[in-house]
Amino acid sequence: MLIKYRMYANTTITTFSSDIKGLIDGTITSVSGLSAGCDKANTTMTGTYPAGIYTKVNDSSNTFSKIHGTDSGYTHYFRLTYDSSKMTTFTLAQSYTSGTDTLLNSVAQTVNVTPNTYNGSEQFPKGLNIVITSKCLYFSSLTSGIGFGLFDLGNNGITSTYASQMKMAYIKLTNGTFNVPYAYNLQGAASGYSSISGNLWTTYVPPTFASNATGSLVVVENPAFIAANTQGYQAFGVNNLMRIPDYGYVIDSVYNTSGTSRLAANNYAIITE
Amino acid sequence: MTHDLLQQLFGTEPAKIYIYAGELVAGDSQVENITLKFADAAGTNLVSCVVTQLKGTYFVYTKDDYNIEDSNFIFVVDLPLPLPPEPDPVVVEEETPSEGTQ
Repeated sequence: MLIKYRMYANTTITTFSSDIKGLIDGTITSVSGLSAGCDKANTTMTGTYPAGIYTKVNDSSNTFSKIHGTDSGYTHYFRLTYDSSKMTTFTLAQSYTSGTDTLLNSVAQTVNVTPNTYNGSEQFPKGLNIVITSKCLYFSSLTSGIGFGLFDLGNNGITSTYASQMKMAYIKLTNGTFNVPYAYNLQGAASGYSSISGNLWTTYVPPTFASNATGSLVVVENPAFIAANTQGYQAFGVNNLMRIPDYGYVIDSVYNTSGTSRLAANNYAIITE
Repeated sequence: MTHDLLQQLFGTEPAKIYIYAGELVAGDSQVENITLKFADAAGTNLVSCVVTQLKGTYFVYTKDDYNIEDSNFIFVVDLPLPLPPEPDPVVVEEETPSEGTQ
């Protein structure tokens, strides 16, 4: 589902974080359920909430679990942290201890997403776009200058042999980087589990726009991959993330393919269902 | 593990690495055991760190700057490692042709 979340000037960090929490855990299923700080007249929710994937495991620390969308044997965890004015960090973790509310094998990423007031007359109206699907959770805020999310990964030789490797990644599409907090590195004598980071795989030729027999625009979408030198560049497919033609769409614009919306990011598109 | 090997494994993003020198618990929950002790040492349960075993030693990797003063955790290294100093350039003195030689 795609939520175009718009806010009034009286939005507080409490209403902002409460709305995000309710959207992720599925307790808010329509615009009417959002807080008083939300500009409901200009907020839209389209698509279907992915039931049974996201669970709030700790309310006060904003910690959630996510089951892998295609390999239900993998569950990982994430936590959103706020200060008095913004969402400050997004932490992805391999595992979690509920008794002490402690993330295990985790890396925190600075995101700094601020609430901001919607004004429809602006060229790029302010707000926060959120994609929630069984395979990804994505946030995009032009005002805060960031698009980031949690994406399921496909299988490869690393995950089939070293099953403790996580099958989800934090990906920041603003600059095309990723991090997997707990992954197996093939480094000779230094081989073992650690965190891996790198760039989305960009060595292949990017797709281009084309037209079909009736002259309609065809947006060619290629799969997106991540790979790290410390794993010998074994490539993981990234679920719900597509490489689209260079500079094809303004960030946060939406287009449809076969009736399913895509939210455009920096040369990538996120499938919203 | 040398510092170079640790950087090879963990990468060059700014981070700190500690060795866990405390007691291990029975069973296979060392990651939980060590993370909880690291959280105690950091003074918050909201820690983010990775615990990994390499050649029989447990390492704790964190990108956050916690004030760890606990004998269970021995600081190993700050990543990235400083670049090695560049060698002094070799100055080759040109020979001046001696007068009178043709």
